[in-house]
Amino acid sequence: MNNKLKDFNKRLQGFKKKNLNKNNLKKNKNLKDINIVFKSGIELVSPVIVAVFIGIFLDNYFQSKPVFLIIFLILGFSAGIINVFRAVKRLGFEVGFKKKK
Amino acid sequence: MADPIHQFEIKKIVPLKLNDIDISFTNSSLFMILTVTIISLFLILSIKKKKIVPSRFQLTSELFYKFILNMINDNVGQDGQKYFSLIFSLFTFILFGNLLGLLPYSFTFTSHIIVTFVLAMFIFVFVTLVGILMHGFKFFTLFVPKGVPIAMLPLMVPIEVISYLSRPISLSIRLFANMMAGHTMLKVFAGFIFSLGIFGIAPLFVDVALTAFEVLVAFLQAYVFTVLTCLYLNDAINLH
Repeated sequence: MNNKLKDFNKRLQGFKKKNLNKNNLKKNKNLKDINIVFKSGIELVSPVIVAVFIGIFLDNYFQSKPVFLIIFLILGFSAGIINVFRAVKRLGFEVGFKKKK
Repeated sequence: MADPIHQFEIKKIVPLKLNDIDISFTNSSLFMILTVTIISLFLILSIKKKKIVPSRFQLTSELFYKFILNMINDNVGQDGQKYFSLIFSLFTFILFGNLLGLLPYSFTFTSHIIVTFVLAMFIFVFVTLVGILMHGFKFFTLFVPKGVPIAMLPLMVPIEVISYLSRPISLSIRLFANMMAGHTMLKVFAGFIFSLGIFGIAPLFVDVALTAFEVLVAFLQAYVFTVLTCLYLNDAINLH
C-alpha cells in the first residue's frame, strides 16, 4: 500500500513539473506578445510629445524660436523608433544585422 | 441620440473651495472612494475565516496575491518583494476602477487622463527615487546604453533621457485612451439600438460582444500598467 502511494506521488510530481513548465512558458509568451502590440503605437508617439514640450520650453527660455524645437523633435522621433525597435527585438522579429552571441 | 461623451462629465456633488482652488467632492472622487471601499471589504471579508483548505471566496483573494507575487518575481526578482504592497494596491485600484466603470450608471475614473497621469507620475517619481537611493550617482548610467561607441554618446544620451521622460506619458495615455475609447464605443452602439427600431438587434449584439471585450480590456490594461511598473522598477533596482 505504502509503496503504491509513493509511486503515485512520484508520478504526480513528475506530471506537475511537466505541466507547470509547459503552461508557464506558453501563457507568459502570449501575454507578453499582446503587451507589445498594445504598447508599440503609444510608445512611438509619447517621446515626441515630451520632446515637443522640452523644445518649446527651451525656446521660450532662450528666446530662440524654432531651433530647440527642431532639434528635440528629431531626437523625439529617434527615441520613439528606438523604443519600438527595442520592444520588437524581444519578440525576435528585428530587421537588419545583429552580432551573434 | 444620446451623447456618447456625456458619460465622462464630472459633476460636483459637494462643492468645496480652498482659497481659489476647487477641491469639490465630485462623482470621480466618489467612485474612487467606492473602489477602495470595495477592495478593502473584499480582501477583509475573504480572509476573515482563514482556513488551510480555503473556501472559494478566500481563494479569489489568494489568487490576486499569487498573481502579483509571481509578476514581481518574474519581472523584478526577489529584491522587488519589498514593493509588493505598492504594486498590489495599484493593480487592484485600477482593475476595480475599470470594472466598476462597466456597470450601468457608474463613472469610470480611469477614463480621465489627469487621474491616470497622476498615477503614472507618482510611479515615475517613486521609481526614480528608488533608483537614486539604491545606486546614488551610478543610477544615471541608465541613460548610457550598453555597447554604444563613445562617439555616439552625445546623440544617444539625449534620446535615452527623452525616452525615459516619456514613460509617464505613455503609461497614462495607454490606460486613459483604452478606457475612454471603449466606453465611447459602447455608448455609440447603444445609441443605435433604439434609433434603428427592429434592426436595432444588430447593434445590441455588437454591444454585448463589446461589453465582454471591455472586461478583457479592463483586465489587460490593469495588467499592462502593473507589469510596466514592475519593468521600470526592475530597471531602477537591477541596474545593468
